[in-house]
Amino acid sequence: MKRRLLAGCMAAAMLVSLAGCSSAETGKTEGNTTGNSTEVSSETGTTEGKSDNDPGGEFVLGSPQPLTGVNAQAAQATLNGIQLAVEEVNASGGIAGRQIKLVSYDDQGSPEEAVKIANKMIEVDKVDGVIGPLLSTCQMAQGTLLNDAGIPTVAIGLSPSFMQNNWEYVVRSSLNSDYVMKILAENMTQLEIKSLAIFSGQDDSSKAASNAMKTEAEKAGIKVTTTETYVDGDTDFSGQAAKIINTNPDAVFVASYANVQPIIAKQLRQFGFEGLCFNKELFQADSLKVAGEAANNWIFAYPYISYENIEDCDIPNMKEFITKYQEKYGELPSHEGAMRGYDAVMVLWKGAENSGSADGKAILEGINKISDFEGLAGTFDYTAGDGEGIRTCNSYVISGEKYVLLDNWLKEGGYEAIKSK
Amino acid sequence: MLIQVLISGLVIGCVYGLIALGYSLIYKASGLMSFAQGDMLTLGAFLGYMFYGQLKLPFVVSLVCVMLCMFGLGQLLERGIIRVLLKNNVLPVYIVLATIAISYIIQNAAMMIWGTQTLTFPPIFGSSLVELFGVKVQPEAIFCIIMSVICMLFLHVFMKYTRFGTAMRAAAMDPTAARACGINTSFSTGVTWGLSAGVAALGGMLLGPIYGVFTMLGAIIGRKGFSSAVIGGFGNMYGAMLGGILLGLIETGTSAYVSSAYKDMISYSILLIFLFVKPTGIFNEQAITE
Amino acid sequence: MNKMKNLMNGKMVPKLLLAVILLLVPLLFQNFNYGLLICGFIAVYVIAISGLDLVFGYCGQISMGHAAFFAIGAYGSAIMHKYLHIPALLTMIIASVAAALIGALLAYPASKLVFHFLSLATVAFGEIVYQLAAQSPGGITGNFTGFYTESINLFGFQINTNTRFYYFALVCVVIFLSAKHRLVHSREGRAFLAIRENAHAADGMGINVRKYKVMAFATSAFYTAIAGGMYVHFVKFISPETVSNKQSVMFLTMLLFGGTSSLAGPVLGAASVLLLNEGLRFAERYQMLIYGVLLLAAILLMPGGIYGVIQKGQQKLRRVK
Repeated sequence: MKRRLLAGCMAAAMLVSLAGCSSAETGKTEGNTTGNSTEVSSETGTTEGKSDNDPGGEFVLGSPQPLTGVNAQAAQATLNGIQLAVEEVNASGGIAGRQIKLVSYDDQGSPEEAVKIANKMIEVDKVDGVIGPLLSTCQMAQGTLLNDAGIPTVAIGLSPSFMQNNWEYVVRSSLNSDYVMKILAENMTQLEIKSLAIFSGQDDSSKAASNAMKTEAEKAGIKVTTTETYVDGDTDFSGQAAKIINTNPDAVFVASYANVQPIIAKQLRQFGFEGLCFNKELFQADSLKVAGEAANNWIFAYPYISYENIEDCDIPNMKEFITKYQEKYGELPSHEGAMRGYDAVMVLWKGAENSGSADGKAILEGINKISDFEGLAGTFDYTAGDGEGIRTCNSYVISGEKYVLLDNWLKEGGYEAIKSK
Repeated sequence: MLIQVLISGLVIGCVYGLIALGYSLIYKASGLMSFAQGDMLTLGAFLGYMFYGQLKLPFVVSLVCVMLCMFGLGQLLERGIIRVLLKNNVLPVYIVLATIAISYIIQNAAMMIWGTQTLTFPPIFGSSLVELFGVKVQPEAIFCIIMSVICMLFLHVFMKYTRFGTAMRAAAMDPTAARACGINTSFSTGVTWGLSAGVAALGGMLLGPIYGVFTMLGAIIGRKGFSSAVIGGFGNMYGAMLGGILLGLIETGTSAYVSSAYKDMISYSILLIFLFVKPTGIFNEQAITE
Repeated sequence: MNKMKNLMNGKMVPKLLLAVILLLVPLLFQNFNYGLLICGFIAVYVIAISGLDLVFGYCGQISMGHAAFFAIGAYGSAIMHKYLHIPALLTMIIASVAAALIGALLAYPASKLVFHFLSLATVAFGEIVYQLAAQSPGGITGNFTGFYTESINLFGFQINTNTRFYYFALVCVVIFLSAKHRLVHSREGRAFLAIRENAHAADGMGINVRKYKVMAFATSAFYTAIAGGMYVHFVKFISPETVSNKQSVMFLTMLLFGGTSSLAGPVLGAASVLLLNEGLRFAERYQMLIYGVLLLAAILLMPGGIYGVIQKGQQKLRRVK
């Protein structure tokens, strides 16, 4: 009896598996042709088919961010910025007439999660656009998937790495750290810095920044005395600080995540380093609060700064943004991710405006036509076609625990005052 | 540079030691291992921020409040989770995994409650730096060293010379025999977990002003504390402290003189070497081999 | 002998039904890559955890650093494939053999450590391998930028879609689970069990405890490394975050969730944890919190894992009969 049952089952299994194989096979080949072909027709075909399925004609915008873990704070601010932008766009009629529905995920900063989420966004949520994750590693892991699915993706990571894949559907709305390093190197020459010590985290974007800094510094004739690193999650940098100071550099360049900025600042100063420090990105407002005096004479080049109160801001569109942000969340942005996220949505929206369509290919073409869009980070110009929208920014220095434009500080003799000490 | 490296190694070493004390205490008194000490430190720092930073209570009062809270929480964990598991007679790995689950919960719950920002813990002694052998240090760092030494002495005396401590050690060695002698074993393990949570919270209160308060504050320190406890001799209070200081010195020394990139690799290799060559640690604590 | 066969057949029926369902999966998920992707991941983790089960469930030796072997398999295979141009399937096997050797090297001195200290030693080992992946000499692993690789090419047949990978992984799962089945019912398997139950008694019975512990560890490392190799050629990208301490905890969680020392346990564990994770996605930042609470609840309420619960249910049914 049992044996007969067994045989029956076997036969059934084989039949079914055969059927399964063949049908899967055909399904796949179809999938392959759509995936591989870059012809406009087939791409539009899929996306239009998708929008027809959408009951409310919504524009589904996906955004995976590292909402838990070391980068949680930055991710939360980013998500807040995205949400604010989404509300604004929706109030003004949505993307090509379709209201945006935001789907956000926690990628935990893990590339594996990023891959799973990308698949889920593409197939289950059927996203029409994506605002990429803060962490470049996650962007790296999911970029191919999103690109192959023809989903317009606005990346907000800083590392040059992922844009080097030349993904057609991925553009960036933040500032490539390579450009920042050029600006910082110019600043260093201007400030007559002859030797530099580099202190960097091991994450992708810090590492990329420190390598770029090294190249730029050497190009500018600045001697790099030492390159020290720390491990993500570390809180004690005294060994590195001691070594850096021992090489007696004119200045220190630090590439780190925001959460350790104040600790590094404090330990460097505590060990008696009095010179100028350069930071790979914005020295965050709450880092400034924790670091206190130790943050003085830190220089950075960045498209935006954090504000402690609205009155401090004299850029009109930024003022408007932070006012709205405070109204909605009861506080000012705690991390510049908020601005990055906001700009990203706006770039996507502008792209759709330019082409008058919410279709993936069209949005992308629209984005590449953007040439004079005023975002929070400055004027976006994608016409170079390399997916980079913003290439320059201001340099700031922290003086008296406040952000000051580097040029103003120099004019007012801030640097002379330090040098005479 | 040498003095600077030595002093900063000492400071971070004492923090490791403080965490290691908690691990050793739990092991000595119940033969168990907790992986949540680092997060207890984080929680202590947050509570400290609440009492000292927000409610503006005097530091000593806040410290007592925080330690009492954490003592209670530690007991609660023991009573609600660890004891239940022990009663079910599960494999020891379940207890380890339960503490890992607790650490996930603490990390994420802290994020829900206090948000994701780095909070500023107001300084305990004002913001001026103190000079020690020509090296500037934060006064909190010196306070940290003093407090960890006091803790170590207190716990050692407590475990070795008080009736209660003896009862706890007996309970760890052979619970059945201890019960037969009239020792309330469940009460004593509860107190142990409470105490070790309290010690970790103290660590959090001391680190808050130095590093600021954020949800991942204790994650790495917790693991380093573990290594310290092993190097010194798991279960030995002096060993925990010495192991911590040694690890701190090795780490700072490595990053100052060798390479900061391989700092962690070297400290974990030392842990492995100790485990393989001398698992009883520097203080030759006999609790290890099969 | 006959009795054995009957028993086997009795057990085979539900297994075959399962096989039918498993083969049907791609049909159900037609044009639904996401579902197949998750199934692919489940298959990868089933192999990894079955390996962990050999050393933990059968031999009673804990490992909290199995992500290290996963890393050796994944990075080893990807690096060899890229720089030495060896076909991907072969590199997977070479890397896994290497992982087994490293596992044996680790287990030899570690075999005298008792539970807690063995767990520490494996944690330390896991950290060292993680640091090597993150700070590799000459940047050979791509460090934190990650490492790209290609899919497996089986004699000209590219395993480059989720459906193809699913069938490939299914075959691997069947091979490795039957190998595991044979191993645990062999002389060696009984030696493992004896060591788990009482190492002293096993020693007294003339079992070379150290030898078998090393053997269990090496086999286990091999399994997990194979899973690592499958993973890297499936995702085609790996970075150190994937092989951090979190991954080791994940392996243990899956194993305990499913239930130890059985064939079905790791399967149930990998499937339930991964599906749970996917199901919790909507919870965004609460996901990890809920995950922690569920993990704790599972440890408290079903210490035998899902398989343990099923077994208990079956026992009750039998009694009723």
